[in-house]
Amino acid sequence: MFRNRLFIFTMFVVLTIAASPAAVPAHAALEITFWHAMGGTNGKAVASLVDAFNASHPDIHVTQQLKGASYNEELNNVIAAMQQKQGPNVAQIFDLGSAFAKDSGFFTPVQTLLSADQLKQIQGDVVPPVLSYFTVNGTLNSLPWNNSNPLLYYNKEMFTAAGLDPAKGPTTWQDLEADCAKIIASSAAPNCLSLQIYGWPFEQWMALQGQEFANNGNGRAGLATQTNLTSDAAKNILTFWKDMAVKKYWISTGKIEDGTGAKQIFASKQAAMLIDSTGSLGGLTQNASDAGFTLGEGFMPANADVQRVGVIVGGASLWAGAGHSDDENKATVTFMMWLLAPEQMALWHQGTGYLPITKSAQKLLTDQGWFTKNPGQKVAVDQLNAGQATTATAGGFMGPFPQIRTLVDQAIQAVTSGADVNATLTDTKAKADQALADYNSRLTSGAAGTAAATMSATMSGTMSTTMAPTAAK
Amino acid sequence: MQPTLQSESPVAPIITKVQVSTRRSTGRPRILSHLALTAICLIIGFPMIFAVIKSTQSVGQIFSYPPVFIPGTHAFQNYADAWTTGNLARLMANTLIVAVAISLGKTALSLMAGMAFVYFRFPLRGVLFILVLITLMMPTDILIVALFRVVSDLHWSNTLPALIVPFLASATGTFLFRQHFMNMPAELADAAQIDGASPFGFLVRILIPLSWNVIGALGMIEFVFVWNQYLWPLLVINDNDKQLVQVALKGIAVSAADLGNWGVALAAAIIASIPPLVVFIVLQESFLRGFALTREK
Amino acid sequence: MQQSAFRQRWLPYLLLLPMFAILILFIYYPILSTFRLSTYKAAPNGLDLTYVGLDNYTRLLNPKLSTNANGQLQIQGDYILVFLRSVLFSALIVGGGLSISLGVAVLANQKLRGIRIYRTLLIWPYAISPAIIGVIFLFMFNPVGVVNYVWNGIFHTRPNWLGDPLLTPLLVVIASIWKNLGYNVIFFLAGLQNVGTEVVEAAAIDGANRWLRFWRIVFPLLSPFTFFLFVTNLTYSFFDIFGTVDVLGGPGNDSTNILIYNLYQDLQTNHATGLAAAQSVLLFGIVAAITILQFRTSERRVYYGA
Repeated sequence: MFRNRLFIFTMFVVLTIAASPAAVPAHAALEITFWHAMGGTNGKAVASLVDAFNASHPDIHVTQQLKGASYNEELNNVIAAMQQKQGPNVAQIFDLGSAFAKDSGFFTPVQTLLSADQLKQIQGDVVPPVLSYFTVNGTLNSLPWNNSNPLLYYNKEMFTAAGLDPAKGPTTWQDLEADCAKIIASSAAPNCLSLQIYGWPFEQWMALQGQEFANNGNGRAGLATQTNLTSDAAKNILTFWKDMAVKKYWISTGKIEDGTGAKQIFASKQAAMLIDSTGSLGGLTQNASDAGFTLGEGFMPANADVQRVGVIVGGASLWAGAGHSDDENKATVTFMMWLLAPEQMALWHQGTGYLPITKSAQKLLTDQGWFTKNPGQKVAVDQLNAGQATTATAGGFMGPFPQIRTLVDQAIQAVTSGADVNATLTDTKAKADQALADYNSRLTSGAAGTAAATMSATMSGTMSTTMAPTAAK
Repeated sequence: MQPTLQSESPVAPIITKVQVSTRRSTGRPRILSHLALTAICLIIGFPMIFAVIKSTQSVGQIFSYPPVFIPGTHAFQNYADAWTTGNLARLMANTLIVAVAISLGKTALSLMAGMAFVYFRFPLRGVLFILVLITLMMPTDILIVALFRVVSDLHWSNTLPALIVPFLASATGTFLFRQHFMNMPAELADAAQIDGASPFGFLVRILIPLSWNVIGALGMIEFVFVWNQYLWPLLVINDNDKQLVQVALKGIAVSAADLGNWGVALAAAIIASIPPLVVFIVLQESFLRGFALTREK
Repeated sequence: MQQSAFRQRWLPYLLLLPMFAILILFIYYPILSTFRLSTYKAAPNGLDLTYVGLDNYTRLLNPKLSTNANGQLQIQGDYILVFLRSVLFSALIVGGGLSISLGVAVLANQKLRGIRIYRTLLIWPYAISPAIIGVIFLFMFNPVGVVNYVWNGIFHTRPNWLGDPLLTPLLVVIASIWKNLGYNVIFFLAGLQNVGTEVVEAAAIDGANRWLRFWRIVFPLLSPFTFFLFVTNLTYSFFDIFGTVDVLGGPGNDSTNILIYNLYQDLQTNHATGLAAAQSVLLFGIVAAITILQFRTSERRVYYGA
């Protein structure tokens, strides 16, 4: 009987192996690889774009690969591969990872691979706020591609029930609070604003008030060494958020960075408004129609006391891996320029909900009547085009940005649980500056770097001064 | 540290006595056990049952508040969506191959190692066993970057051996077989010595037949281990066709949940859990095999 | 074994050779390079190493007391806190998990009709990857989700499962015990089968002494498997619950930050490779110490030979 079992096992394994399809035949075309973090429906859109490229460019073959369910997972896989000199030609890196990507030495700035004409074309076509995010010290490091903005979503039926105009949402904090008062008072909804405990809207509100997040030109003119977390703008934001919490106008799942949960609350009709990315527009429209309500869209509400400047783009960009041959680099550029062409950018927007970041794509979509059929997308694009491109709206450029965003998450959580705004911000700033010092010290190699590292490592994160490290650049 | 020989164990006389006495009929109603088990299964199984119910609902039914607990109308759409978004059939086949290969290899190596540690006395035996045991304290996921360097140097990047070979050595398996072998009567080994049986014969004709339940249990956890592998295949495999199933499934579940398609997300989660369940149902037989020696006595 | 059962002296080494070949190449070598890396400070890209000796360790183990802007005393370098938290989690997961699983295994070890269905339902959570479990739990424990709906109906409150610094760790512990129940039950079942059905039933038959008989007869006979489960549950609670912590707690949630989570944050988000390596070494040492301690003390009490 033992022999029988072993026999069966062996046959099973042999048959399974024999049944697997043959290996994929080799291509005569130049192979380039594209790693990304787009799963699900976005992944399908990537696949169809890449297939179309391969079909129309017989001399180049792009292999696209999902390398993570999140941007961070994918970045870590890119890093590990780069360390073994097995990195991809094109890597999608998320916004907050931009400074790290630039510092890592793993990527060639896209600008150096483009011809003068191509660069001019990009600079003329891509909308200024988007361009400014990915340009540092005058150099375009990566190709903007899948980008988004924050948007206010609301339930039109609940607005009507509360006596508010369902055609537009509040554009200022003050209007927002007034609307919430009406909504709660009239019981049009159990809660007013669903917003996740997340640093991202905080950063948006800094930019909307024209406040840079970090020093040295928001980290773009030189390495950032200090954050501006104790600025008036920052205090305004947390005071507003705390006020919303105290008045119970704001609801969240309690978990930090739970965007999915925040959307769940809104889609279950437990909140009248939601602040989330423009990328969620498609999904939320579908959810709304399934759940039986009409979705409204509006600009991200800002502080009425300060002149509105603009929002920061989020999302990711495409980076060109270093150390590849000239031929591969040329193919990479061909692929990138193709993705940015109006036809592809329009398709990409329609398939995923990411913003059409080029003027030519926006024109193409307008001509197709797309925005008439999708007024929500029009709101998103209008907000994108209305923003001014300043160092503040270009967004912070810091190596440890993900870590710092988490610190801001904790600050929001503390303040909405009752902590004092000023004290919390002072504390958070100290920790954030410490993170910057630590990161910068690790960038420099050699004795000077080690000395600075040891010093900042033993410094406690309190109100005491943070020493700027000897930043060799 | 040496185990007590059976003849010295205070337990032995009681066992013999019990085995000889006639069995009473239980009398006590089985219904209490049924009730207890049902209650426990409901509590433990609730999240899964809930996930299954929700996976059959449409988005509207999922988001309705108060929550709807009855199965919905969208079962086919959700499961079809989850299935077709990734190349799931192919990936499941890949994962099956890897799982079988690792299970066979791991079991064989662990059996041999367990036998070596229990039926032989040799210098460094204790040290070597501790060396095996401590590999439990640094799981692969922590070592992933260093491991990737080793695998890259071997030019195994994006290949099947990279998914299989590093996992053939198992502290868990060795540990388990060691415990199991030490738990068997010492007379067994003495009898083997007297008979002059070869070590291979001893292994194949005595140890293995007495270990089917343990082999079955180990096979089950090895299968689940491979089935749920995520970080390593994500890093090492660069070909959508060679990938393992969890990599695709997590992507599907996470992005569907983000879009609010909880039905599809949960359907993907349920699909992911079916094959290990099937393996368990099949392997359950071996758990029922007792330690044959007591009956043979 | 008082002496080898077989004559061939070289045989044990041969039997162990394949396993050690793989261990050396794929486990020991990476472990040693991690040890080495812990004495370096790495640039964020993981290359460009600078030797710093034990700097990473002093940074982790040297708590600095200071006052923050709120006037509160705080411990800078809260690795010690993270360590204590991990120990607490593990004690609950191992102790609670093994106790509950043993009870369930005894129940599931009967020749009832439909016992196979019960066992399948019990094993189901084990078969699912922790990340997917997290997704399911997140959906259920949303403040306006199903759990709060039922809870509110009974107790008239809506607990803040995902945000309360006491409830979220509790939820993580419960989810972790729940997920590993099936695993423990499988092995307890295998162990109970080895003890022999006659013995278990005989021990269960007598009325008043049933409990005592179980503890004096069956449990000691189970102890080889209990010891095995103790070690594997220990490593589970220190390493494998990462997925559950990540989804239910997430980055920035101090109340669920355990050693492995802190490590991964430094490794994957902060890209502080040397510091993460040092944490790997410390974590390794902690778990190894607990295991060897348990090995030394409990091996005496484990009854071998059924």
